[in-house]
Amino acid sequence: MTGNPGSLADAAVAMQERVHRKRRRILILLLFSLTLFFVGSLFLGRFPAFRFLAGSHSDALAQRLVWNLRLPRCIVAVAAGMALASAGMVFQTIFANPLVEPGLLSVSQGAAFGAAFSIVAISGSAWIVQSCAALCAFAGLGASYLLARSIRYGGWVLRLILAGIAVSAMFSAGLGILKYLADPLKELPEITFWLLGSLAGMSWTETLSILPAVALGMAYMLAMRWRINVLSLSDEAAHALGVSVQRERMLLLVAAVIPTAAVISAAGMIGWVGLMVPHIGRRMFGADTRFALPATILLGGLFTLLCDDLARMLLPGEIPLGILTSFAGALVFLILISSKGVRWQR
Amino acid sequence: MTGPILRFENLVFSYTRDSVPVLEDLSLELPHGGITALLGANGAGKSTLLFLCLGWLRPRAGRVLLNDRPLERYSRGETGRQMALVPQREHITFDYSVLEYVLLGRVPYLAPLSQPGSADYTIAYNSLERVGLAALARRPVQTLSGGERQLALIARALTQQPRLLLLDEPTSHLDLHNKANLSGLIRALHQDGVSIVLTTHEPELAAALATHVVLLDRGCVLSSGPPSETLTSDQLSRLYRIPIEVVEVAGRRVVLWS
Repeated sequence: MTGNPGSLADAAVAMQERVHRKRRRILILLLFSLTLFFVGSLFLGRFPAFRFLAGSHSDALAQRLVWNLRLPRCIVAVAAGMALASAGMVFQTIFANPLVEPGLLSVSQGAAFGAAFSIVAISGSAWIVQSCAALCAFAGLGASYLLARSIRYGGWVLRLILAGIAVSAMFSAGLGILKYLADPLKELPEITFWLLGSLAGMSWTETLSILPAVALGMAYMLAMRWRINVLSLSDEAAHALGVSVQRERMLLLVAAVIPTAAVISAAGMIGWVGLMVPHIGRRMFGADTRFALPATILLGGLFTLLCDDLARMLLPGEIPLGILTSFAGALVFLILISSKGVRWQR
Repeated sequence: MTGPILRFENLVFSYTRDSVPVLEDLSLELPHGGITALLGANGAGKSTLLFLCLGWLRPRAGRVLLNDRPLERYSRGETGRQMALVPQREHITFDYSVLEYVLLGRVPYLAPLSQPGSADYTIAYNSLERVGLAALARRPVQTLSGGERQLALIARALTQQPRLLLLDEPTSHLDLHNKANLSGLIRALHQDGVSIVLTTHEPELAAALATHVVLLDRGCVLSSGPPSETLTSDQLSRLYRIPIEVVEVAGRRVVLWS
């Protein structure tokens, strides 16, 4: 069953190749836009830094502002957007459910509980809050996984989702108790601000601590970008296609959860990126994750960077990033599902 | 190869530990290069047997041998290259194009971290041509009719280039035209040396296509052999527990029942 030269198959494959080339060009355009936007974000803000950096006007304060405050912050914004969006895409595909988001397997609720716990019980510095959040995010995932293994009902995906819901609910209850116990003047505002998500005061130490996790997880997801498709089929169908379904799903889940946990632990809850951006990726590039996943990664970075720019520029004070991503995300999502026109390249 | 392509040795299977076994001490050999039809009432264990062939279900006792080698000694990728399944139906969540969907049949041939190349696309497209869906290659799978989806599933299985093709009630969603096309396709694959195992509720389809027929009754083999010995009035009446008469019209077996 191989194509003869000049056959219909060759023509069809050539056409498919043209479609792929076009998709690649759009991806490069997206990458270029993200780079441009990133550089712009470094200099824009309540304190524009363009003219202070160059030539005779070079200003030490502006340099510190760009290198020590805006650069790490913008890097984390892009990394967070990329990590959450790619994890969202992977979760939605392997759970064959477009309503799923990366926090599903108690990752978000676990991280939230961990952060609140460290604020109330340990009252430690930022890195303790982060470590606790990351630890509890993984504890959430581990508990969901173990619980799913012991459930004697339904397929693997259903069992994981059920277990995730149950463990999330327990963490939510724990978070409620912590908020109830927290000092309303000191600890409660800190918990609330953390839960709303923010990149304010992001340092190089925090940036460098989350980057390896994000890079590793995303590298694996990107390398698997075509094979992820097969995991959207039923377990039996994927098995018949020669896939070790459970093992491959678990590896991808871990690859998606590690960056998510790292990002949530540093920046708090940044809602809707993981749910909405994959939908835009699919609308633009079709369901095939071979192209939709890289697109989603770039769009996630772009979207979160834009929201973070607005968070620091819109008002004299800082707006929590999670509020903006949720608002903008929900708005874009509504526009997306009510319009049929947003379909660029199929 | 002359031995059986599949051998079941004293298979026992039940879905839960306490439930009544679906298959009970089933021993069976399916010929290499043949078209085997599995017939039986609903719940007789036909689809279960197919899933045991795939290794998706594990027997409680006994074993399955593919080409005289126990199934568990094959790697997952190897079984994906050796055999393909066409399920009765499949739920598809995302709107893949028909070509993207059929291309998934190349999964067993590609390392986990690699991407399909133009040779893979050519094989997928040729499979679509073979089932008559080439014109719909760029259509979203979700917009296909039930019969067209069935054909897309068959095309995906062909893209796996299997030596053994398992079809679970392949004609259940097809009109007469597509049924005839599918019969022709199965015969052509048989000519190419592909072994075929299909389950069906249509004894006439089995009579027209099969070189070997297995009658399954409540998890046991009632009869196994060439159609002339198995698709008889007597055997089919025992299998379905109603009076059935098999008559020959224009050289073809027709099943009459009331």
